[in-house]
Amino acid sequence: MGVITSRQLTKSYRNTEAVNQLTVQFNEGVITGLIGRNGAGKTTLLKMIAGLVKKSGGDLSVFGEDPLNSLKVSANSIFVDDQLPLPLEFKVKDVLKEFERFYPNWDIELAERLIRHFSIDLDALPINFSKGKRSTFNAIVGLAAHAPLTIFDEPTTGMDYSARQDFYRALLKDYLEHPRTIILSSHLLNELEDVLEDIVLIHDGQLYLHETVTSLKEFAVGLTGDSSELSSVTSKYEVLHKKDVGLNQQYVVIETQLEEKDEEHLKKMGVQITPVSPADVCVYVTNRENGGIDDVFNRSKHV
Amino acid sequence: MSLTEVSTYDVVKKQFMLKFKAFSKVFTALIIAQIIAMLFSAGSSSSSGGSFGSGHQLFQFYYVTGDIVFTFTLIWAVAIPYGLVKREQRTIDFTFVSNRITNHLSNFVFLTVMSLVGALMAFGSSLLLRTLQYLFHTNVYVQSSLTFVEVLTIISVMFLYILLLAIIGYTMALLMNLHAVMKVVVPVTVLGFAIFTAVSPIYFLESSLFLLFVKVLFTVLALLGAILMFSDRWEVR
Repeated sequence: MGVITSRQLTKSYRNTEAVNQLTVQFNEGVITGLIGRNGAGKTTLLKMIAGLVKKSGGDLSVFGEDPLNSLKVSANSIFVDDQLPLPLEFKVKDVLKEFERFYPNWDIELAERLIRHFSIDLDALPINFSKGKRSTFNAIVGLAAHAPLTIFDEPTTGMDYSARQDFYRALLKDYLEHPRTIILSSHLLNELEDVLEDIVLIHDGQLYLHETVTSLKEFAVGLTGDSSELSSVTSKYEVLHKKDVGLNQQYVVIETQLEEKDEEHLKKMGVQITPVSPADVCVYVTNRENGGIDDVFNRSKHV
Repeated sequence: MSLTEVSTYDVVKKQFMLKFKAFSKVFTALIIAQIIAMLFSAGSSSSSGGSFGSGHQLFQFYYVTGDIVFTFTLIWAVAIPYGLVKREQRTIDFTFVSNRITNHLSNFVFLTVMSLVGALMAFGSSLLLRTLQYLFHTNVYVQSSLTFVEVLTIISVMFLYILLLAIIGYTMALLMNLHAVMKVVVPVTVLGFAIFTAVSPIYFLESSLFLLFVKVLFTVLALLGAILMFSDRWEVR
């Protein structure tokens, strides 16, 4: 069940393609993490979904409609980023009142409780907030709107660690009480593993992965051990990532789980087998072609 | 979670209310403009003089009118829309519920209401100006008292001209936002058009209220239609 479906969706700015022939589906009633490096096309994709930016090609459907100029999409979705333009002289309480008029599901109680928790002054002007505080305020608005489609674009920008943890918890609790489709773009996947259900990984405007977090946790395994012994086994597998860790020792990440006999064989040779976190999987998958940062400094490769 | 259905009318209404709150300083600007205009009027009313009789009886007439007040109100009407379509303001609707059409429609409703308030205030100011002159100067000759129909006519004419300039200002502001060069090209072109072509007399020399109403209505609707047709081309954020 896709509340949002795109087919061959493209958005180009002059010479660059921010989103390139992207075919993806976001499932209804699920918290999906949109993960990607800087410039992967996350924000552009989300803005097209929210109807803020016009697509250059392909198909995009949200609630069964083209989101551009759709009042249905606008009324049933909220797009929160670190900007969220507001009238300059509106105080926090004015902003809350305004959202209440526009969003029928607006939960004024939740908004006020969260505002108190994060010690935000109702008479303060949001434009004077620090970066982290503004992000917190925007995130509160995004939660309290209870929009059937809630989009957070890098909501934690500038928030400190404890504010981020509070936001993740608030998001999860509110989601459990009011299940809805939530998309959250971020590059802090390691912090979000326990909140997200699905993960969409994009890179260079294209889809790399669309998995549940559970399956992504088993997507790859890491092996640490003697390089020559490792290579005899890993040649059979798709290697995602390779890194030298000390003399003749290597850390190799392979896609899919090990076959049983290989696992026993490796264990006998003293190879450490470790799980690979979803965040690392995403990094390795998107770095497949370019190699890691180590390769930049590895001069012998360039000669 | 069930979806809500909204109508264009509903959203435009809500956006208008939002704008009315967010742009209340527009009216402060108008009051300031009109006060400045009144100071100008008090200092330099148009005058004509002469002498008659054998005893060198010099006399001079001062016409006390609200012309400068009205002119300032017209300038205000062209300038204000520029603030409405500035990127920071334009994007605010989209923080809440909006599409490009409701965004323009609510701006249009706002400009209409703004023009009406502008007309009422310009009329009020010119009355105030005359009253002040009457109170503080001797030898004031009151031309005639205005009948209710005359008052309505004056306010209607003012309203139509203010609205016309407001919608022209809005269209200009949208075009000027397209590219930095347009910020020079558009005002110069429009000004040249107004001065050197026979376009402005069509509006400003019209003596029939009804025909003026038809002309303004036609122009406003034509411009609004063109804006809505091209509205998809604007990227929001």
